[in-house]
Amino acid sequence: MKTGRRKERDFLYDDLIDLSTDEIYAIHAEIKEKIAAKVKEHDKIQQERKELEDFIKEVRSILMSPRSPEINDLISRLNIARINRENAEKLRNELDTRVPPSPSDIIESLKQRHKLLWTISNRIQENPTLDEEIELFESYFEYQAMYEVAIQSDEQQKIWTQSINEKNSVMKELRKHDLKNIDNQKINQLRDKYPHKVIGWKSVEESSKQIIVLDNWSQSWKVERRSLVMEIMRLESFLSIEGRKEKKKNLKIKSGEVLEKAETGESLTLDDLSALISTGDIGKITKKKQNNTNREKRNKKSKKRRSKTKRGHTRSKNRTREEDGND
Amino acid sequence: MSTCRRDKMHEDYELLLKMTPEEMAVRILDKRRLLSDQISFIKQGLEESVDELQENHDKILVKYNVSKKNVIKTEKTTKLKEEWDSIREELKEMKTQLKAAIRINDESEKAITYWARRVNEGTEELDYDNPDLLRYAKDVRSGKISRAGKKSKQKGKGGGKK
Repeated sequence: MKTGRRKERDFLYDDLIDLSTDEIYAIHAEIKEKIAAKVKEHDKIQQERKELEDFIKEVRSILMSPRSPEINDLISRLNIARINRENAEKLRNELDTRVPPSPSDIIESLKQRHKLLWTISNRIQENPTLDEEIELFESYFEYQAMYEVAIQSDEQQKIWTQSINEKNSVMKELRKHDLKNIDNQKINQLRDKYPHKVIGWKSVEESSKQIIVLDNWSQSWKVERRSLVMEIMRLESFLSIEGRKEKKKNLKIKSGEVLEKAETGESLTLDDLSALISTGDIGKITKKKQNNTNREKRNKKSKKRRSKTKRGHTRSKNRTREEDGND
Repeated sequence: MSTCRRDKMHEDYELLLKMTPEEMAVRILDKRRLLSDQISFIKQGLEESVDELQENHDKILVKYNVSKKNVIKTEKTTKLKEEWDSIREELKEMKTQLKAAIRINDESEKAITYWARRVNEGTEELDYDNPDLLRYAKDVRSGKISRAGKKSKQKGKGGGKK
């Protein structure tokens, strides 16, 4: 898309970084509006094209209708030319698929292969190995056969060109006759249907040219539409990245507050916990708790009390001689 | 284009297009026999040339290395470098030729046997290891797609006018 706004980009979003979210949304909306307007225009053009097509069809059917021996002859010549052209085109394409190189390319390949097979090169390394020789031999005769097919293709191409020339010359003749010998009633019907058009070959030609212009517009719109859609996707992806960043930032702020809450012993809601989990700060609480418990442990004196099975005696911390088994 | 040149071109085309597999096989066999007769001499000559060049190369390289150690680069160093470069190229070429000559010499007998069999027994399928040499040509003539056509189709370029 060429908006003038965007310069050469180093990376995908460098022209969007300095813009505010609102500005990006505005561009987004602007492009969407443009697409909607163009889609409407496209529909209109398609409608216009269909009308032109119908007009051409109807006028041609009258202009090409058999009405005099001379015109009948021209029409039959035109039909023959059309059939010949179609057949030649079909056959030529088929032959070209079977053998893509042109006859001159095939001759070049044959020359190269012939040289390698027929002569001994002074540069000894240029002489083929036995396997290469066999492959060259096989391909040499394959190319000979291909040449025959390529020549057939060229013949079909000639027929195709002749058919086009024949069609053009017949059309030239037909144009000369224009509305001659055509039933007036039919012409009037068409004039009523298309009051702004002049009925005849000239208007058919003009309409055909108009169709080409409309087709070109549609083609360029197709390309433009693709780039506009891509631009929308680019803007949306940028907005989504920015949105994620913003959300993360908010969560970070919230998690700070929640941590404070947790330290003071206040109860935490599910949202608070979710914020802590999303930012990864949940670990900080347990760490703090762990730190606290460690400190408490250190403060407490370790009192190892021993158990004694005899009743009526208090438990002492130290072992007696009896217990040590020294009695 | 002059008429004479056009006629010559036409003759060339005729020669290329009318060449028969039998003629070609005979020619290859003759060529192989000729090569076989000469290759031992060619090989010997190349071996001598390689030895000689290698000797010269080593001598110049020693001189060049000594000259290179001098801080000030003299004209002599440059000349030696040029000489060394040229002899090195020549040696490389000779070694490649010698390698090819050895290859031709080694497979000479096998190649002569192969083409002699083809001349005597024809280009059709002889056994599993020796398939029909005209199978691709026959395929094209019978209306099948050529190997070039298959390649072109694979590349997605098939069907287009050349």
